[in-house]
Amino acid sequence: MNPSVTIPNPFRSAIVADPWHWDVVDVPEIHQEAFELCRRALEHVRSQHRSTSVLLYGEAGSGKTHLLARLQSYLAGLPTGPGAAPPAVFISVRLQTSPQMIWRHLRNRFGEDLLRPAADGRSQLERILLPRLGLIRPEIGEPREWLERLRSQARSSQEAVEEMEDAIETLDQHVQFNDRDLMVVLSHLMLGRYRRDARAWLRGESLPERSLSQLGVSTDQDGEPEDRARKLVLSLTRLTGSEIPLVFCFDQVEALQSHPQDLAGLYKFGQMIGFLRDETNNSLLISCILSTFLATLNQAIISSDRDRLAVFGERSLLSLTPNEVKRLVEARLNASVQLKALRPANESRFWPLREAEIDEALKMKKDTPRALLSFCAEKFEAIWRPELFEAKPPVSDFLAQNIEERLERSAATASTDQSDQIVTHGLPLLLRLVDPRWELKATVRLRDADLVFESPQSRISLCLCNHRNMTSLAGHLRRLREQVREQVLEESTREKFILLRDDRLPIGAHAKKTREHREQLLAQGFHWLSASAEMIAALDALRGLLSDAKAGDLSNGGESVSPTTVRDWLKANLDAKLRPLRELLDVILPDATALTDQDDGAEDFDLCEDIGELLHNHYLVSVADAACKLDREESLIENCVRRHPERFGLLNGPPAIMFQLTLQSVDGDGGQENLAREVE
Amino acid sequence: MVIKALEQTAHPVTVKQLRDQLTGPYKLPEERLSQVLKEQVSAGRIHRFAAIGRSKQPRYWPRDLEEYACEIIVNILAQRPHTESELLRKLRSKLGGFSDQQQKNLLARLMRERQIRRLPPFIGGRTVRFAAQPPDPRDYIKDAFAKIGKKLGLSVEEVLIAARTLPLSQVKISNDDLTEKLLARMVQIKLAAAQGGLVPLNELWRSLENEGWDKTSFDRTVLSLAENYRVSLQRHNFPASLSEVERAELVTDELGNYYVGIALR
Repeated sequence: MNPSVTIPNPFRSAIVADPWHWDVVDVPEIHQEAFELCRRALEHVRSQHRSTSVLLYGEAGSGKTHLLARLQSYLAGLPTGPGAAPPAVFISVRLQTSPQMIWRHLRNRFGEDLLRPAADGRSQLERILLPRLGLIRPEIGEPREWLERLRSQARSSQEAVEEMEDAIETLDQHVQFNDRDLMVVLSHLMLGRYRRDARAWLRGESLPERSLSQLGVSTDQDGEPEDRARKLVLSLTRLTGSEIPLVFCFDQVEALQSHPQDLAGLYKFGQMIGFLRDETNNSLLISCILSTFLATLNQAIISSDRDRLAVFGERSLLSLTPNEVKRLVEARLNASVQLKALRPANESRFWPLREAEIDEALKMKKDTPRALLSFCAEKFEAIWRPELFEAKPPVSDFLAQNIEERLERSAATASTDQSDQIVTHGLPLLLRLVDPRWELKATVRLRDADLVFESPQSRISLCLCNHRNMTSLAGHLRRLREQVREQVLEESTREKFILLRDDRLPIGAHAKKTREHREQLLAQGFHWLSASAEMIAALDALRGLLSDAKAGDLSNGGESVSPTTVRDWLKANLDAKLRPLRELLDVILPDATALTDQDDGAEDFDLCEDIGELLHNHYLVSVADAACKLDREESLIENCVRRHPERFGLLNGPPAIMFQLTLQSVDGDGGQENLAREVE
Repeated sequence: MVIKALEQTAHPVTVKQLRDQLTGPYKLPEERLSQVLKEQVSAGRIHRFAAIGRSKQPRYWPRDLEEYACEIIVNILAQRPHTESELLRKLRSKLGGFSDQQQKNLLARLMRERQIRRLPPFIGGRTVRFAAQPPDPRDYIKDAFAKIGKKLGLSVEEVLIAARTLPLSQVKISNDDLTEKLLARMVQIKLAAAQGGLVPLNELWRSLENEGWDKTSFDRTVLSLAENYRVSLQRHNFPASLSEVERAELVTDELGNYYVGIALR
């Protein structure tokens, strides 16, 4: 095959989207000062046993995330003895979240990264805990052998479990977790028991009572969830002790704003940084923002928190010098083995580009890594395979393509555990898109409402009901009932009260109290919104696109696409490209006349949830079997399944089979369509 | 013919004023002429201006409101420098229906197009003035001499005689001085600038403007420092999201980039 067609363009993939992905070419001289600042700050934490912070800023495409990835790779590459603790623990936090859930988001990311396996296959958590246990309990001998022994015995022997629990308790005496549940879960994670649930618990995900009981942790989730998350984060920071720094990297801080005047998220971020700086003694807090965002940040954060954001220093990521430009181009070219093999002798080091083209890039001020690489990528295509060269697409085509990719990705990855996060972050963005007068307000009237939106004409109070734990959900609904009793609900055209639950989470037949409270709330004027997987995925795609645009990470051929452009495009294409969001709005907006599940009646809801629960456990069930299991008539079940094609699939019989919908695709027009909805 | 007559007027005119300029068959009755003008406005060929002063009559002109406002501002400033409030007061008296925000945006545009400029305040003063011409150092010297005289209890003539005895080399300011002053001011504004922290360019400009810098020298000094890789400039990625006034405070280059911040290398 012609090599000109098969050789990948060495200048493509200019964006490092995740600091954990370090598979790109690096030129260490670029942003060396900023990197050194982070490294010195890390040494400071290690030697002084005091938390500190660094603020980095740069233009879009200046390489902020690349720098974090370099730091992550540097930490991973630092030499440690066999079985020794890691030199530092890296935690990457992309702030695509809402102010209401900022601590829960941090807990989630912290938990996720602690459980992330290192190069040797062991998680960061295990690499921290094992050497510590070895130190405080020298009698266990070689820690890895000890752990292996306990793991193999734990399946059959309670003694092994108790030995691990004793060890964790000893650790607690040294570090003071102040959290029994955390100690229990750490024991499970070390022994590899109830792995799925223990990991979910550490990440702060909602678990059913059955799982909580099995883990042996408290099933009562009393107290404010943000407060609980904050306390757990604090306990987790004590895991490593003062010798091993925790490196928290906060990226896409801009995504905390739902609109340019919204300072609430940034204020909370400032508070969070201040808290971590003051209450821990082993944290390095690195925050990355766009240079243009600096003024907004200074305005939103109180001055004492602003000082805590850059205690060790702040640094601008500088534009590239001519020497750095040439080094970067050369490094990219040299990294392509196929290209190197084809290079004729005595050719310029920039072959197949010419030095004059690099000078042209400098003259045109393509002096950020992203702008330079995009420029070179185009030149490369034009020289290497001119017959296939295509200029960058118009912004509208680029956005259409981009949203389709995001929809596909979100449909595959946006799990029910993320639904709260997606809704609280995405819904304010969606409402502002359709009418910029919608404002997110404090929850005053209904203390248990999660989101309250107000416009000059109307108000929406939204309560998230995505609990897996039915006791918690029943408690949540009960409190709402009590709060509603004290008030008179206004007309639904002016104010709407909505209970939202991801429809992938059926409320089982055993959850009688939950169903009863729900019925009562509906009778008092609440609306039930079963959010489909398509709605959640579309909302996730929307918030991701807008967040990337705000942080300058949305690039079309090296040029950042502005949030205004994205908003305008989304507004114009909501119906065509994000149809599920239009359906979501139809239900949520107070003047909407669309049917909600409330109108279907309680019986239909219960049946729907029963079928949902059945399919959740068995995936594929004949209508006849379902009728038997649920003690209902076959025709009733079949009709219910037909009425809810967004939730269930049906294979016409005989015998008629219903199944759980999982496969999705994006059709040519951008609307989502279930591949297997009903097979004739 | 009506439009031709309007084009010859130096400013918008009422129906009556226009009729006075017409002759022969074109001197239509006022009502008919008014009707013709309204039709031309509807067709977009001429523009209707709000009445000013005691007259209740609308005025007409082939050029639009903003163009007229430009002409007024440039004419006023061609006579002598004015403070912003003086200028806007005069503009309001000649022009109705032009909001404060429009006026400010227009000032920013004219500054960007270099049709007018912002003059630095007098020594020890704060009031900024606008002018069509570059600042005349003699105005500043005269003002400074008057202030020195007042402080020392001397007449302006006595201060002038003392100034003439100074050797010229003592008052010479080089480009190097500007550069060094700008770099030093960065660190004064933000201590972290010495370690690579970013200094907002609008803040730096405002600080130096109070000391008599003009925007052209400021922009030139900043861009020249960047070209020599002594500083790094940070672009605004979405300058279209800024107002005219905000953009006027930034540094712009020949490629149309707007720079928001400056950091030492």
